[in-house]
Amino acid sequence: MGRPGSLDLAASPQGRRTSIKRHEQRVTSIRELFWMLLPVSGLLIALGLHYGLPNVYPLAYHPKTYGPVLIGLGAIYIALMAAACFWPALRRRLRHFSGIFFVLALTLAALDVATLKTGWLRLPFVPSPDKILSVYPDNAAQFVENFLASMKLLFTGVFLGTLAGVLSGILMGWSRIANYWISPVLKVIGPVPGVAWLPIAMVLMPSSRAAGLFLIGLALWFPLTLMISTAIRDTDVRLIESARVLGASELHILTHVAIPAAIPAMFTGMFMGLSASFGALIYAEMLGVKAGLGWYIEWSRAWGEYAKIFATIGIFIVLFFALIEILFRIRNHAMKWQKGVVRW
Amino acid sequence: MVTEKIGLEAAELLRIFEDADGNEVVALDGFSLSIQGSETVGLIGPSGCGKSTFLRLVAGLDQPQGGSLSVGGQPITGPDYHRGLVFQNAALFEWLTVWDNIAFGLKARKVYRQQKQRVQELIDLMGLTGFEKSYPHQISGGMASRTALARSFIQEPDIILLDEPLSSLDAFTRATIQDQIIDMQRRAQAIIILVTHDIEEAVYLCDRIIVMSARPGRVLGEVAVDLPHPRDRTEERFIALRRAVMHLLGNQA
Repeated sequence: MGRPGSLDLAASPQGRRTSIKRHEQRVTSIRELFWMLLPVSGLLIALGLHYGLPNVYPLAYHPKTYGPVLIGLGAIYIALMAAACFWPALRRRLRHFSGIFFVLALTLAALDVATLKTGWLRLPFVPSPDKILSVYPDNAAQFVENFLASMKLLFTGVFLGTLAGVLSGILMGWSRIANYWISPVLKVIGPVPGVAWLPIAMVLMPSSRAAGLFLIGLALWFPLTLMISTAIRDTDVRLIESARVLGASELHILTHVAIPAAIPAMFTGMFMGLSASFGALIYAEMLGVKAGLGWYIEWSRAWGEYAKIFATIGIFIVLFFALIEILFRIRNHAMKWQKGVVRW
Repeated sequence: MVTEKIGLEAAELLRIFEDADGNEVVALDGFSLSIQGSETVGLIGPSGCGKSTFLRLVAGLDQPQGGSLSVGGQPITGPDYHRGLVFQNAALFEWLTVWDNIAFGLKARKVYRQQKQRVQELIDLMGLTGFEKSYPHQISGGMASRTALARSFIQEPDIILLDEPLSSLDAFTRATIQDQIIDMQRRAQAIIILVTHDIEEAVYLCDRIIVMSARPGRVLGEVAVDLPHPRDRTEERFIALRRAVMHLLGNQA
């Protein structure tokens, strides 16, 4: 939408809005520069506190990672700012997030002061940012190994759960007989949080890995089946009748009308299921599967190494954020026909 | 174009629905209509007079409980692409472009590869050129109606059923599309059955106007429109015909 020279009429008001935005972009400068430099000042405050104050807790601790990371973040941000001079879209985004980046830098500084610099917050439960960040270089091999184990389990489970959910959703939505037999299973098993099945799955499944797959798959299967079958059954009857009058067979109507009409619901189900599957992954790894990031959290807890738990959670944040973001991109591409797709 | 003259025969049609409370609602009772050749027939009447029910019966989407309904001597048993139906709000496939919406029937019948060039013909005829790749949410209501008409006309049907296809459009757009329907009808030589609330539209488009009574739907009377196309909406004879239809409608109120 909004391509230059495109003929669609509905898109034109939006096109006008972006041109107004572009105009604003040109006239503002000093205020914008102030906002864009805000994160840099936040990082400078954090750096100043880190290198200016003595390290008192724990005694004889030599920080090594936090300072360079702050400097690295600053360098990346300045590079982005330089690129933004030639790239208005990036400039808008940087300007948008500058407040958040600023507060983030101050939060890091506050944590640094409260731990390493004063000892107000005590080890082992609240480690300093340097101790958390140092976990990555010190345990790189372990992280890579557990990360790959988690990814393998997650993606296999998501793949199987999606496959099962799409198939049973379409089957239930289209066939009354399938609906009769599958819907009791869906209604009885679905609402129970998948993790409740773990102890039983561990015993009944051939391996703890299989039990983990079952749990992750179940987390996706339920919302997908529910959303897809409902959407197919609720397909606008005029669309189905139009297709029928145009000479489409029942199978053609299913594949070319009912399933495309259910795609928005399919993505809603994917979002719900994916979030639930992250929980299932961590839970399965913590309690059964003896590998992966969830297991690493549990193992670190047993040894009282809370810095490793914080570090692992950091990886989860980046990972799950990226996965949801990828799903959003796929959805926006698949549903470009829909007006006003929700973004996040 | 060589077309056999296909006739539609409806005799003593009966269709009763059951509403939510289980009461019987008689939509059609003893409804008879005979259409020969490539006529444009208008059905006009108050809401709930069974006009749309009749269209659904002819389309094969619904079955009557009594009476007989046949096309070319063959009873109607189900939907068939030889009988096209255009709904009030276009009912386009939102995920398909204008081109793919129009091509839907050809693809469903697996004749798309042989008849691909006809999609462009219809797009040009309906004035949709340049909008082939637009999605339904990107085009105006008038263009959506034209896309729906093209999607139906591309099948070269013997009968086209129009269920208030222009009722949600503004007067100017409606007038343009009315002329396009007359043009398409001349090319296709099909029977057109038009359900409408708009008396002027009926007089402008139709060769014959059937005025129906409120529930249960029966034929109150018929007005033959013997004016040549293009018709002048302000001409005396045109206005007299409008008055005649209005008079028939008024009698039953």
